[in-house]
Amino acid sequence: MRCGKAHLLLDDYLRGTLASAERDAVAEHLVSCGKCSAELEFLKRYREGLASVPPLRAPAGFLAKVREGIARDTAARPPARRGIISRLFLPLTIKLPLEAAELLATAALVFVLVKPTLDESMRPAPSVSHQEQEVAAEKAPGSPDSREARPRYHAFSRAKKSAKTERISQEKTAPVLEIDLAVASATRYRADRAPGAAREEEAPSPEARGQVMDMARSRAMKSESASQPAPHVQREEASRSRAADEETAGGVAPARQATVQFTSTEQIVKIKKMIRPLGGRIIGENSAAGDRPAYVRVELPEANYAKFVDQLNQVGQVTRQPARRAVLNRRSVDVQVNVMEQK
Amino acid sequence: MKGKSDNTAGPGAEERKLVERFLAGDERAFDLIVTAHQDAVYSLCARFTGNAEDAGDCAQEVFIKVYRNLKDFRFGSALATWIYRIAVNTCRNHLESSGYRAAERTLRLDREPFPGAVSDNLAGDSSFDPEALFERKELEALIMGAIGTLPEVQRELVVLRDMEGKSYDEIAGITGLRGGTIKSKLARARQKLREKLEGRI
Repeated sequence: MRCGKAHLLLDDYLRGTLASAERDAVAEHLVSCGKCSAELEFLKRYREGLASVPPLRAPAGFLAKVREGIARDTAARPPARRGIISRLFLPLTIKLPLEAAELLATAALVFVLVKPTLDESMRPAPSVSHQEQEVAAEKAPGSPDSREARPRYHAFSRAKKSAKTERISQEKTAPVLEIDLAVASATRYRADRAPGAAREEEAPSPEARGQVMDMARSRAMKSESASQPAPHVQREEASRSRAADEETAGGVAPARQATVQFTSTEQIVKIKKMIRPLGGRIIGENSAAGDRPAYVRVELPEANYAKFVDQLNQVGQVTRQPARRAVLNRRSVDVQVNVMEQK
Repeated sequence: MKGKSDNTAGPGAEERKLVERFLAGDERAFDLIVTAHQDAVYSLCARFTGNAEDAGDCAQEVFIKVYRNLKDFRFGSALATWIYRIAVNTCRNHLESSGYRAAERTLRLDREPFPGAVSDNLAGDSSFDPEALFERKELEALIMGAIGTLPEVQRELVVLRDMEGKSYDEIAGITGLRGGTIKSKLARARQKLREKLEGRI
């Protein structure tokens, strides 16, 4: 054993608390090491000196002093602010029955308050439910469709389905209605500007017209950007717009449109020459493509339509066919005129 | 934590009952706890502080802390070890306080170095010998004076081990030091004491 380790074990060696192997090793080291032996001698004298130091006792009245100190400390402390959890649940041994009662009361209260809300949420939408309920109430009691006989979930399912259908329908029509409103506003403004407008008393001031126009534009833009209607809706809208224009500009003259199919370039040249003197105009033109013949769409005053058809007879053989696009028939009589090559 | 108490029987069970009674609101249980530990706590405080006045104040503060914090005691160690730990920390704080240091500079000579004079303890001894008493007081003063010059940690270990007779496990529980560290620090402390006391004892 080296001095370092023996040095650590000397106190325990002196106390007699070492294991036998360590004790023997220390004893063997002490025989050959004067430094550690001197250390051991000092420790003996040191322990004897400490043994003369008597154990100390607390002074008399120490407990009373402690009690005074506790009382003083309690008085000096602000009342402890217990947390909400601590206040509600501690100590558990004392308050547990009370807590259980509180929990039960709270659960009952929540059940009473929440249950009507749940029932309300299970009912169908008010407008639909009223109808459904009224219909059900009108049914004879006891009939298969009566309210009493019908299962509740069945009524709910039907009402829900009806509400969904109505909602989808509203979603589909709402953008078109918006556009119609915008078109109507714009149309009224245009009608007011038309020469010889019939209802001048209803014409708004320029500022108001500007506002109406702005509103119409903004609504139209808003509805277009928001909804982006399908192509067929756009076509229908364009048609309505034209029809509205014609109706509101009706103070001028009722117009008629016609689609004229033709087979040669000469024919279209002639048609274009004859339409202008009749007060009409070309509103669309399409060249032949594949099986589709070339055609031109014209618009002219109603009064000159018969004259136009007569002149067409000079261009070629005219045959009339019903319009293929029914939507064009809303306002004007749309006639497809085929101008065939004269034989 | 080392030095866990036996909670099923003996002093550990008794301590647990006292603590539970106190937590249930029985103030007399706390009085019993104070009575059981006051001498050991006071002795420890006296060894650390070196005078009766500070020892009394520190011991009182220790038990006030025990009163406040007993609800947090989880019996991870013996109640005595827990109280000793509070006492050691309280004494450290006291010795580091500016008030104590100022008093130390001005009043040290006026104070009785060690409370509990030997004469008090030998007053009832039939073999009372004034000369022997004088020699023992002188030896005691020499040793305690040398211990008082040790660094704080070494002084704590010497007091706990050599004067209070605590085991290494108890010291580890009180100070939080490992057993090997305790032994090596104690060996160094005794080496210093030997250097100071050599030829005088």
